[in-house]
Amino acid sequence: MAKRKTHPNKELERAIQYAESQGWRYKKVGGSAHAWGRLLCPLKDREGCSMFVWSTPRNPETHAKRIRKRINLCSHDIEEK
Amino acid sequence: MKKISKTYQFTLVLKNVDENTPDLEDSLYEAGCDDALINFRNSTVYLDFDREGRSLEQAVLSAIKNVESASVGAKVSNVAPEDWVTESEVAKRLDLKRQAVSLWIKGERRKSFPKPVMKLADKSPLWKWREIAEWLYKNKLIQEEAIVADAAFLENVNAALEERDAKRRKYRHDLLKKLESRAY
Repeated sequence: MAKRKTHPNKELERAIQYAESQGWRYKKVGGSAHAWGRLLCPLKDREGCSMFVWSTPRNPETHAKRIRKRINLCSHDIEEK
Repeated sequence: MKKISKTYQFTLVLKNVDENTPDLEDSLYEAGCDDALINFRNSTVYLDFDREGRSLEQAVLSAIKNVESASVGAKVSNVAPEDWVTESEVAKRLDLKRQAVSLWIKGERRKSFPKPVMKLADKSPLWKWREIAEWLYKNKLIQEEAIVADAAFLENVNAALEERDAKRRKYRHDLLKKLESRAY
């Protein structure tokens, strides 16, 4: 796993830690002005889910909620290959 | 009177772009999609919005315009939530137990719940949410008339998005003419 930077927003950092606790991985995005990074679901091949986390979303609180919701909707287990 | 604005949650499915489109996220952000979460699955791009607006229609249409003004050339192909609903989806949207909805369907609690209209032989047939919303309002099970208006919007927005394609529009128009023609 790539070593990641901490998200400057506390609420979003907690959502990202939640993602990691569910087996999601951080992926660096090079040269993006607005994306903090990308999260990839536990599925290894890229049929899996992923999402962009903004550095400064319009509303950090709803952005964090949406991230958690999507993680909970992902049906790809860690065991699944 | 000033109408209070509300936050609406909905998802837009995009076409003409995919996971590998360069600059996708910055382009969407700068076009005003900073209230959306960009997701990918099977390389399809979709945006989960939490958008403030005076109505669902206004929130969704403004989001579509934002997406389609982005420099990456994305088009919106679909809006979710959709009009087709299963029994459990109805329960979810109303935040009720499935059994409560089941009683309506069986006519044990209230009369004349709408009939399902698709996949009738399936385990979970499909209802039209717009018909259910109207029934709920008429039976005073929901108080907000806005829910009925939102449902009418969801019933039509995906068809409207499809109608933007000239070929499909012509095909439908021809079909309609045949349906109305006495000579057929």
